[in-house]
Amino acid sequence: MPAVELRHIVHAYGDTIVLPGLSLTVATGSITTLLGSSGCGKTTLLRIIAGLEVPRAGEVLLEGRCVTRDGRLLIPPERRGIGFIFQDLALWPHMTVFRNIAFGLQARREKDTAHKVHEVLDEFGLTALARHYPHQLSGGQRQLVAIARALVLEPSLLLMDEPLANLDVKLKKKILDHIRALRDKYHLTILYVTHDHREAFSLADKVVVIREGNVEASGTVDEIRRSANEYVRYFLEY
Amino acid sequence: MGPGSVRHPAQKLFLLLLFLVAVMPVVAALLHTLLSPDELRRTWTTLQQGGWRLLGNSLLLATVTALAATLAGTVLGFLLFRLDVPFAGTMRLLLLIPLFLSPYLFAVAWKDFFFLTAGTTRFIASPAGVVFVLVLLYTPLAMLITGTALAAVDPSLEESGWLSAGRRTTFFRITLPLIRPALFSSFVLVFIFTLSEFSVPAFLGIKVFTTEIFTQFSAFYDHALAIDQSVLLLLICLLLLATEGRYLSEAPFLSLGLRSGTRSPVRGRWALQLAFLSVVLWFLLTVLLPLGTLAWQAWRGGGGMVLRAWHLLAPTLGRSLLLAGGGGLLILLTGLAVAWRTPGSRPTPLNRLSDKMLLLLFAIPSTVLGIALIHFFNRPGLEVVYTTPLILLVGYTARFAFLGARLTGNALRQLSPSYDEAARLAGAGPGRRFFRIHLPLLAPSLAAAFLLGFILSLGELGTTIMVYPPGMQLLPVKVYTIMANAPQALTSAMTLLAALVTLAAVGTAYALINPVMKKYSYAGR
Repeated sequence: MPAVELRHIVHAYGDTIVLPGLSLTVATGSITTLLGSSGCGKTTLLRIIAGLEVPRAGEVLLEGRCVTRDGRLLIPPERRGIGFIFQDLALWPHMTVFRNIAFGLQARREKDTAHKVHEVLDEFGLTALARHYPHQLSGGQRQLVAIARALVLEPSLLLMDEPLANLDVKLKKKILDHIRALRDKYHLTILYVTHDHREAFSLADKVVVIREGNVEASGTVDEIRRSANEYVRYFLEY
Repeated sequence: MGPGSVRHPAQKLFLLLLFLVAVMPVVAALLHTLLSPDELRRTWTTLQQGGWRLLGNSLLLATVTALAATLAGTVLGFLLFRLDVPFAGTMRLLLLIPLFLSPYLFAVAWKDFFFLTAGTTRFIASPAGVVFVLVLLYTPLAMLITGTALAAVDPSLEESGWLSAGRRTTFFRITLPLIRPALFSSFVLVFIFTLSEFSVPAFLGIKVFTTEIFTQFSAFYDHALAIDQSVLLLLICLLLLATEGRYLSEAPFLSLGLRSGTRSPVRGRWALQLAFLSVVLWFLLTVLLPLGTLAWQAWRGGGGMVLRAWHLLAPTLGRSLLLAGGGGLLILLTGLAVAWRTPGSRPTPLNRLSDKMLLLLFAIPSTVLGIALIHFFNRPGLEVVYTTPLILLVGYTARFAFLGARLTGNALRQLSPSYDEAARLAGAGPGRRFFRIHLPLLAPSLAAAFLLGFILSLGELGTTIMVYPPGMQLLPVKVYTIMANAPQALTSAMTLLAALVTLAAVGTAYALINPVMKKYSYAGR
């Protein structure tokens, strides 16, 4: 059973249609990257899967369970078991690293919150920064906190919206390696949005190229690299 | 289409209450005149019997004041928001002091000054004198509006202009057109404030519409005529709002944490020193000179005079401060209720409607609002409001909640929607998100809204003098009523004490609130 299944998703902002009827399947346990230029609808797609946007038509299924159907949220975002890494990371600036990570556990009234947070801090090498505020962290440290905050809630699906856009190449590679290791360890399904094909190729099991709200091409990294599709070739050149 | 804004039932209830107690009185006063042919005829007769002249005076006074204050404010805004003038942040704050104090304090001070230096008050007790005092009072407001707009100008737009046309042409052809909305807003706001101002013309003995309304109401007990005249003034304000309502209701200048990204166009040492000197001179003229004059006058009257003034004012202080605190709190809460929506979501029709309501109430002259409140609440069943401090709180909230709403609204607009979305995905419900995420992030702006509400409520005279319950002694009313019959030295001593008490209260409130503002201030991080 696929982790995510999108059926004929139609979405618009006002009169501008951004997704004219997109369908897509994401296999469980895979890392799938959505690749496309700015404004092609990839972020909107992630937000629809998370339940932060409601499409005009179409269905969203998570592990076979229909969560959105024809303009109606059947399952609200907070009950979808999804982790989301925002492009701006959305670390709450008034909370320390510890509180940022503990917030979701407390909201769900989970027991042994402190222990779980310390475990995650340890795993990500953030223990020394537990009392720091987000503005006191470096770019790379913030990325790690955002990922730790999402993973402490043990999601089965992790959505990442260009989270490494502002990092240098070296740090980007280090974090991409980390993400791959996390997928293996936590058996996560990861859907990763980027406009950088190098980033997409270095991370993905499967690459989906989006163009104007439609799937232009999809396949493994090698398949996309060898694709004869004119748009894909043009996109990969730049 | 997003999942939409969360609207709490308490928000709707609060807004309904606001409509019933603050908007209804104004609407009722408006309808009272407009729907009655007799009242309309009476208003027309009044206008023909000198009313047109009075209206002309008011409009001329407001126009000249608004033009001069906007011009001076733009120059100061340029010096303090665009140039690397030494101590620019401190000077900006110091120049705002006249806005913290009730206008009548300055009228007294300048009358004293001219009496002491020229031996006559002929200039100050004239329409030109009223303009002089009001321009000095409202220039800081104009500076804030135009300065914020100047700071927001994209430097690359100006720099590309300099390369092709030079600085002078760029200033007139690029910069000024870019800040035109702010210039217009400054003009309209100062115009409305001047038209609404009661205490300065009243103290300096100049007849304008607001003083005439007060006279009709309190000296001749002609409530109906006072209401008719109020409606006329109200219609003028509505007309003005119709021209500039959209930009004013956005009020981008009412915002904390705005950072200037603009590079200083002047770097020469001499030029900056000259700019600094000009700002210091303006501070001396608008703050130190009037307050110094009051101190000098009070000192000439001897220590006994200051003591007498203190004995007269002391009974009013506790209640005045308490009411101002209540006003500040209600202004904060109303502002939050009106502005609240989930970050990132569009304003709901309820947001927009209540925002317009507050803008309308804000623009109404103070005495007009007072009349409307009395007319509405002075009836059986509503004495609980009319005869108690509640009517004052309603008045303060109605007059100033717009400012609270804008401070909160602009802060909400600056919050990234992803903070809320991340909390939602983490499993937090609306209540937890509101109290744990939004409220701390809004804390600096809410604290500023409280402080602003407190300051304005403490110095409010126009509405207060109309509606204060009999027997209740309040700071501005006490000073205003006593100064008509008291010796000059006593008036000066009372005014000085009122100013010092206000500044001390503002300073204390700021000291208490500042840690909250600092702790939760994240702009630019």
